[in-house]
Amino acid sequence: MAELSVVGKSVRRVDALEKVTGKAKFCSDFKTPGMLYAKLLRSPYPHAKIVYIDTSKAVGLPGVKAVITGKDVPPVRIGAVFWDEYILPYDNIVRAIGQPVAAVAALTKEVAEEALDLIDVEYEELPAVFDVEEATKEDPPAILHPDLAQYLSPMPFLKARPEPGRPNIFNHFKIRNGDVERGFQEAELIVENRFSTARIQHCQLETHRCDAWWEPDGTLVLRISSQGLWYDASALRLIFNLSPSKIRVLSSYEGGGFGGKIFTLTGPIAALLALKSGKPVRLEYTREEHFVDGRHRPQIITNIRDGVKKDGTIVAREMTISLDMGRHSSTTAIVSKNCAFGAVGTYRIPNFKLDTYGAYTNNPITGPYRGLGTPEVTWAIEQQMDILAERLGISAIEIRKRNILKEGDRDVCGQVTHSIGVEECLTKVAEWGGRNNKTEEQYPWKQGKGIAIGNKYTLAGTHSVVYVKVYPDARVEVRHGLHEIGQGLNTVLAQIVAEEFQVPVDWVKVTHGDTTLVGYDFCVCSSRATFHTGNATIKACQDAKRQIFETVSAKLGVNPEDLAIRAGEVYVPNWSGKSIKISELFTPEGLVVEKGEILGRGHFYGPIILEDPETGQSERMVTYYAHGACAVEVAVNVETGEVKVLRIAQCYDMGTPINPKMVEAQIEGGTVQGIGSAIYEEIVLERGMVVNPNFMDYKMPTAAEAPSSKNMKALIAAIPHREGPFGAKGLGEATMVPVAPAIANAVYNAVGIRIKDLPISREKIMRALDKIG
Amino acid sequence: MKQLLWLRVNDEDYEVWVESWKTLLEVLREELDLTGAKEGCQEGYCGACTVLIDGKAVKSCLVLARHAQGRLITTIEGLTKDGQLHPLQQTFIDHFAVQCGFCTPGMILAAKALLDENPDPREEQVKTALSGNLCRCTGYVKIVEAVLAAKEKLPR
Repeated sequence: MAELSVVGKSVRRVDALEKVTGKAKFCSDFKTPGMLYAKLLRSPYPHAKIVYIDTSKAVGLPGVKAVITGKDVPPVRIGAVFWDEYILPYDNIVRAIGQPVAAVAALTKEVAEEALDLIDVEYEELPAVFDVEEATKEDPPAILHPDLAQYLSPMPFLKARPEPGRPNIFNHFKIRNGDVERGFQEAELIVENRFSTARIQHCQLETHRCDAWWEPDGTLVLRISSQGLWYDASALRLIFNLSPSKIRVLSSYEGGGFGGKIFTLTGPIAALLALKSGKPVRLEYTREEHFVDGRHRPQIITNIRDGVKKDGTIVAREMTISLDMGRHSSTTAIVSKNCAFGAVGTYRIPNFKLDTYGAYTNNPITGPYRGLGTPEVTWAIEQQMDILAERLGISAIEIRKRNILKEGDRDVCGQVTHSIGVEECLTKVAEWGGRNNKTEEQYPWKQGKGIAIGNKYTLAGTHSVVYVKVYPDARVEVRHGLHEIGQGLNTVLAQIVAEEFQVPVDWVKVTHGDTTLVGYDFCVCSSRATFHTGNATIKACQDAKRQIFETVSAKLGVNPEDLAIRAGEVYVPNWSGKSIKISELFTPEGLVVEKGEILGRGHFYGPIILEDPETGQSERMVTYYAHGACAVEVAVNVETGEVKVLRIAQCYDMGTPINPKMVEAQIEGGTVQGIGSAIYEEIVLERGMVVNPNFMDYKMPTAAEAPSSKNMKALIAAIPHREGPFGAKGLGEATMVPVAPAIANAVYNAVGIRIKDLPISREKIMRALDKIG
Repeated sequence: MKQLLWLRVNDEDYEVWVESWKTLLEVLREELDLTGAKEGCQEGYCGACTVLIDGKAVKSCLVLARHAQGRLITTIEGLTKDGQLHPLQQTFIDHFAVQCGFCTPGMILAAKALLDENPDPREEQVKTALSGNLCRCTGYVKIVEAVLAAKEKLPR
């Protein structure tokens, strides 16, 4: 590959100046004249039938402009994958505490809140189920969706597959490869363990929110904090039966996503209130609402049974994974299948069997959270690897190296492995970890070291469309259909455009967040944007350059394919003869006579081959895997159970880094989120009620808990991907995957106790220490 | 009931009629169109609404606007003087301390309050001073680096 001038350089983020000056606009920094404020009445019961609802007193309150209940909503079920949810309970059933029951729009927030108190609702409580293992039984204490068999699952890349006879399971995904029974017979050691993860929350600093209004021609406009404006547009079209031209979704900068803002929670209700009131409506979740009904990372229970040879070679692995998905499948349906890929993309296993069971419970709604289930499954696998290594008397590094996939290997789903740098990642973090001998321990602190590896797949079967416009001053505008949620996409795309046109990054203008201007894109999810949108951007640049070169070739009398462009000048490489400035192609009005405008279009599709439903086999199950490794040193206080992360390093094989500093920043962010999930964070539920819905009682890491820069290392193993833009892959989610199990392994190394249920709380440590005396 | 408030924000005087129970954050955002301060929790935990009152970092969601009368209020919009970025704004850019940006205005103002009081803080002091401002994106590493770098650039 030729020397790159902008890609691969740590150029400053293109959005940083706006953000440090307070000028960057987020969803609720806009004002729409005449706007009403919405509030939601939420269910106090985990499972109940609404027998009576009366809104007349609320409607009569001065300042109230619209009140809606399940009686007012379109009778359409929606969902990100599996269509199982009305926007308010049209079926008069509530399935979790916090589920919206009614909504009010009023002149002020205060009036809207007052009106909620005036809505009379009478419920008849129904039996409820909170434990996922209870829920997945053939005869569970409660059945959440008796009409499950009639629900639609129309997404092209993911079909929900209910399990006949087990009525709360809405998705059962299977992988079968080799002969597991024979594998276990060949094994010299068989080890079985059960691991589980807690519900946690994304804690995006900006809660779910949107503004909605209707234009006189019947167009619905939504300004939203979201990870997928096109995904949201498709949901709203369906609910309101709109033609595709009658929906416009806007977004600005967004205060974090981490998977929780895929598929709108707020849009449909705000839009219906706007329709009823004839006014613009703003709906913002409070922090408490965000904690209660703003989606959680689901609880996942993993049973893992391994058969190994004495040298550490895995000959059989069997996994059963149960997911507590809450009241509806929402976006979490994706997790119920794709969590399995955490068990697919790292190790070579000749005999493999896996079952996931995504089940409804009367707990709050869940969704993907940075990794879509892979961190939870990796929590099990990577502790199991250490357990096996110890039983066999080999090192934690050796057992992993013996079993990891190599370039060209088929994984357990039958896909050929490409761009795998996990061994290099492991070597790099182990080297870094080995550099430091334990500092002297001081009672009551005991120190330990741990490692873990892992992968994160990127979803296959999605599209990106990008437009690139060239201006007479040779500035280039890229219009993309995704969001800048902090991940740095605007900077990445600006670098790609700058590279393609050989201009400085500040000659590139990035436009996003308006479906009437930008191209279709699936969603900011699954670490797919750099790869998919980046590839579409390259194609759009090439299309724009083709248009320029065609125009220039006629003027210079050369072939278009002999032309190149740099700094706004079109020239013939290695020929000092002729060149022409972009500006010379345009008339004073800013027009290219031959073409009108220079507007390039690029489309990229990451192909998918749907798996065999009985075996989970597919040549192209995922677009690619990113891999990584984590090494960590902890100190455990044997008097209090406190765990401190002393030093931590992570390394990732995310292909060619488009912007190395931003890669480093992503890894650091994922590291600290991983630490939070390992040690501090847990949504505590009591019979379906969140008892800690605030930042005081839900403890996410602050600067005080984060390791300092000298003790946190972000490393890169730049293994290019043949289909990636300049060889790049995605990174964002992978960075959280191995952190929690690495910490658990280090805790074991420090004090000899193995915590199998997240989080590694002080209470669990003290209890375990008590047991071993 | 609405009352007339006089507020001095970023060296400008404002007169606004607002309800007595409106917080400073609400008045800044809704009445003065100073939307740099963000609402992340309305409970005083997240720090996204941090502004300076008489030079001290304060969570503006916890202060009634009327109690801020007669005090000097600085928001992120007031930090850039004559088109010149404050050293903290520059080091936040240079050190990649910004990701989604929602915490950034509050984080910068909390850091400014620290550096104004202690121009030469140690790393641990920076981390303590910022521990009332949550960030979910960065892991805080580059934010702390940016604050430590800014102290070198402050006029002494």
